[in-house]
Amino acid sequence: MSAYLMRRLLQMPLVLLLVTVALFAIIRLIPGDPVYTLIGQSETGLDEETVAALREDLGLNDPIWMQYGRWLGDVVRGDLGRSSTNRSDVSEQLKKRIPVTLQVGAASLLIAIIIGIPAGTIAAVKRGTWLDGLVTMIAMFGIAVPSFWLAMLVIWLFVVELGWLPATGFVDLWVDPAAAIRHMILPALVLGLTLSGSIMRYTRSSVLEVLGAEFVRTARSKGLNERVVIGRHALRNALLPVMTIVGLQLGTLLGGSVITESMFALPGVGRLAVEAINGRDYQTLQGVALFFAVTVLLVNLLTDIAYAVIDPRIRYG
Amino acid sequence: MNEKNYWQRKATFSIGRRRLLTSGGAAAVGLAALAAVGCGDDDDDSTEPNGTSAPGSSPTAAETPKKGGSIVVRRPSSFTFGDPQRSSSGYDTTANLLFAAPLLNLTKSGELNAYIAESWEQADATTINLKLRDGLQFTDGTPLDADAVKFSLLRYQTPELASPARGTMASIDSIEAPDKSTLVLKLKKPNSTFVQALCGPAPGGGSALVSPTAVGKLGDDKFNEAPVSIGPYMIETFDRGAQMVLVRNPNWTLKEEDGSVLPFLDKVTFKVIPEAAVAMASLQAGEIDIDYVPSADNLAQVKSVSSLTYIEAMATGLTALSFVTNKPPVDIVAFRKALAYGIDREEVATVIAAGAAQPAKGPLSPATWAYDESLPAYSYDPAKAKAALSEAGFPNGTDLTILTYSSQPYPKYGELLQAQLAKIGVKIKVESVEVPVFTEQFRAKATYVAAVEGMPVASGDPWSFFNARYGSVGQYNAGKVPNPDFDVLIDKAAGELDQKKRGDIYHELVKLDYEKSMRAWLLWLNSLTFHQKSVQGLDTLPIYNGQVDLRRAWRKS
Repeated sequence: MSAYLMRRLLQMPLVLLLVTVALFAIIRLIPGDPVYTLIGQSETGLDEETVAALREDLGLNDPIWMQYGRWLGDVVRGDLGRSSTNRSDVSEQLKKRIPVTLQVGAASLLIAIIIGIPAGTIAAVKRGTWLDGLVTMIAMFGIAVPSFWLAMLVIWLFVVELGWLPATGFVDLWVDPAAAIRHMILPALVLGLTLSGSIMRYTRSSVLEVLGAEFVRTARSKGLNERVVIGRHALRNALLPVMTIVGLQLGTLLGGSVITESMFALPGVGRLAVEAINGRDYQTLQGVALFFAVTVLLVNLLTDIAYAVIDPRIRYG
Repeated sequence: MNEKNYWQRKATFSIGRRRLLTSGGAAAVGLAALAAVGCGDDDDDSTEPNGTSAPGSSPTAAETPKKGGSIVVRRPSSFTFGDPQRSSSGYDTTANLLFAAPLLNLTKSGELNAYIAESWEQADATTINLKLRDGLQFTDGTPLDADAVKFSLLRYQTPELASPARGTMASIDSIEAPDKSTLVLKLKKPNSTFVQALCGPAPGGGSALVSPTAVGKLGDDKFNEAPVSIGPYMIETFDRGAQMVLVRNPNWTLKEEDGSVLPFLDKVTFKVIPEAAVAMASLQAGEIDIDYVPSADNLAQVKSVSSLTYIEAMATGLTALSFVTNKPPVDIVAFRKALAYGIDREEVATVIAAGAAQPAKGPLSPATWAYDESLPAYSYDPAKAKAALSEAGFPNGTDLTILTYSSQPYPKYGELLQAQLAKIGVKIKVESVEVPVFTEQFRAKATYVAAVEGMPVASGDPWSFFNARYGSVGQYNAGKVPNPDFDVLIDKAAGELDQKKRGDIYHELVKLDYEKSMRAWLLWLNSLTFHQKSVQGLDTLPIYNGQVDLRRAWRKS
């Protein structure tokens, strides 16, 4: 196990290196130049001298490999650079925005699990019935529905019509838990619902597979209560592959945060990414992408480790 | 100037319905009288919108503003800079005016009034004298004296600050501060309109004052996160991506013309809400009070909600089909004329703005004192367009690629021009790109030779508008095409202290623009502000796209 862990941990920097190289090149392939986003809407704008000074300051005159080398060197030293748009420290910006994304992301995942696993189990147990059909349909809806549309729908219902919840804004859970939950419900619901679809589908097929297994037949033939058979024997085993899916959903979750955070006006990493793209803010975008990449790699690793811990049959060597 | 221009006609209409009886024919008297009676709506029970704001109108005046209360204002994008000297977004002006008061105030009739500066004088085309008020201090307690103002104005020139106003402020050669309340600004070359920069907070204007103590202590970057200036409000908390909370500045003592001391509200929160549809829902739910950059698509909805109303500022934005005038085929004057004649602006106004716009009649709009309705302008005439096209050497038509922004309604402009100009034989191809790409590909590198672009109309003195667009090194002169005949007139205007004579020079510029058809002017656009009826005292700024002016805002209940 420890050898495996070591190997995985050693692989990580290599994967990250490849990700950053690809990213560095891709960002620069997008037409547009950070300096031109700095030219405000004023009558005079930035004069030539200022533009030249900025270009020099941002290192945009150097060849791309040199820019990359410098950036990588700084990252290794823990410095993500400064935003070309607002000249602020990228690490500082991320530090402010990560808790927002994590808070909403965790709530969304929780909602997705709370909806997805029971619904998937019910669909499997009641396979072929109208209940299965209904749950499957809802799952398909969750997968297919665009989150910006769902967001508008819930805002219309819960904010405009019912007036129950606020549409926008973020409150830190540690500062005011009640207000934080009220503000978090709608974005987490939207993101959670879109994620729950695939969790539901995977749970259903996994439970179905396990229900056909011999140990379930044995449990039943022992005369065990069906609830115990499903709950203690089938579901526990069926959840292993589901856990992998939940881990993999993190990518979808981070991708989804880009839209949800813009819709619900949340100052998270997803919106920072959108702003950085619009502003051609290379430094910030690189910082955001690095955060996304590290998070996905770490969660994948944790999923694999948890897999081994939970399932004694799995041994990494 | 014309006897009765667009503003006055519009204002007459507005007054006619609400106030004609009480104002006793004020409309006929003109702008000055309008300022006295106001033309905004203050009837709460009325379902009418909050009236049409026109230059010279004053904010709602019938009721005495109440002190206290707070409002939440939507801002469509994250704050780029907190430092009012670095503001680069067009949305910043509204917030900056509350916590970074300008040295001078520009009124809607284009006059410059004293504000932080007690008085000012343009001694000659290169010298401006300023006299400061006594006893003012920044919100950190630093005295606001001549040295502090000198520090602020010169800070704009620092290249590392990259202030959008640097280009303007770099024209200051030196500043003398002979005593604590006197400043003498010397300009590098004659510019009789530079003083207007001292009324503009951002972006472009150079009037924001910053505490030298705070800048010295924090450094430029940290100061940007916690700026210290002077105004009726001061910053309580600032989170660039989420919100800026402004609270009453207890040390603000400046008296307004009516004797009142601002502000009326205790708190103003600017909340970042990127999506216009979500902002509309928040407005309906009462979560926010004002949306000053709303989508015109939601106007019908605002009209249908009894607690909401809106302000419409007339002709604050301008759109044009601009050219790189030394590159084929748009280097041929007759071809540019063909395009100008071939555009049906009435149809464009209807499709694009659903009535919140009028066909533009040249570079000057009624928002500036220099406007003259009798100046020549192009209107839709397909026959003349075809004749001009033949004269240009394209009797069988030609192709042209137009660049524009990717955000609506610009692609829609492209489609319309494509359909309209096809009728005269010009096949248009439209490419829509994001703003930075547009700036690079059209303005800086002139890879494209024609583009539909938007701009604020010239307000106050239009000198910088002309200089930026026609001057050989002007920021918005795409491809920096040398225009020596324009340069001569622009320089002449800069050195002319007499406003009337300066106006004549501007009219020469407009005629030259017409003769050479430098741009095909498209629309004068109105800007909208949606708000709760309970928020009163709102007005629109005469500069920067008619953004809402919150300085006199108050809450009714």
